Amino acid sequence: MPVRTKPVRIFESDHAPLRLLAELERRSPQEVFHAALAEYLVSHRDKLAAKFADTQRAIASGDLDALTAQLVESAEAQADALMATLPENR
Amino acid sequence: MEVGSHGRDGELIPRITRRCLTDDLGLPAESVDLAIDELASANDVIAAFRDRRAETGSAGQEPIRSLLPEVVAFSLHVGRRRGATWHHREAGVIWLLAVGYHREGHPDDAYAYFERLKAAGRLLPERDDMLAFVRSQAPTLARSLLNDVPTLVAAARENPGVVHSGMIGGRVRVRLVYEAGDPAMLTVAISQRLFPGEMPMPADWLVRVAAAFLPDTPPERLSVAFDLAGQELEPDEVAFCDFVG
Repeated sequence: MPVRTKPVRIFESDHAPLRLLAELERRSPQEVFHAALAEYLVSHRDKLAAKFADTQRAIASGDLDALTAQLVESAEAQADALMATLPENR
Repeated sequence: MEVGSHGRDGELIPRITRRCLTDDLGLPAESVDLAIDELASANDVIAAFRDRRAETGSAGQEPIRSLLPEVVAFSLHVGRRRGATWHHREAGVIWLLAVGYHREGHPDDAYAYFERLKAAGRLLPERDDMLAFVRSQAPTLARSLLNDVPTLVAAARENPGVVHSGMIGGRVRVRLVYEAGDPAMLTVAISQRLFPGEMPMPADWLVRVAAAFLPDTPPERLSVAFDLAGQELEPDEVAFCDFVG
């Protein structure tokens, strides 16, 4: 029985998924959003693929400390984003 | 089905600024890293803050006029003490900004004190407070990725074609579906908005949550999907999928 979900690979070495998603950009806001996200994922492919694999390793070994450390990596950027929302900075 | 650490609708994350903890409540600076329940057991103002603001999701009823219009903070009454609490909507956080004694007409009155702090730029959370808040979320999210995700995936596998919902670490809404087939496919839709609040999901958290649901997928095989087994995604969702054994 075929599955109904249509997958589009994002870390492939060619840009076929991106081209496909760009075509979809003319269809709906959701697809535009996906195209933008896919473009981001493709342009940061190496970095994000490494994070994906790092997380899989931490999960496979049940390493809570490693996983926690990974999730803290973006803390500085998140803190900056939150600071920008304070009334005095709006 | 819903699993994971749930953030109830309307619930706010309670945080106390480091300045308030040290200067107003006399607690050590390191206490900024303690859980609210630990802090509440040591201080009745913090206990009231947790019970009347965070758990009820109430920003407050009585705005502190002297702080308006820049800061819409509310007064928390605990005996003669007054606290200034502020709902940081974007972050989904209710902050305890300052605490003082109410002495009508006295220069040290709590409300005059709050106003002086605001004028000095010391009332609202500082960057260190934000950093401490963000870091405090990581252990809970990590535990949930380790413990709750396998439970959700197992439930989805037991009910092929049925969309399951969950909340990871009280912050990340997910929906997933297992489609029986040859080969079978697992698809997980991840909300791009952190709950509670309005902040976007950090890109690296998105990838890490996806990795937890697809632990055997080589990165080069990771795929996005435009639907959940034929059902439309929510506007704020991104879906990842892979064929699974």
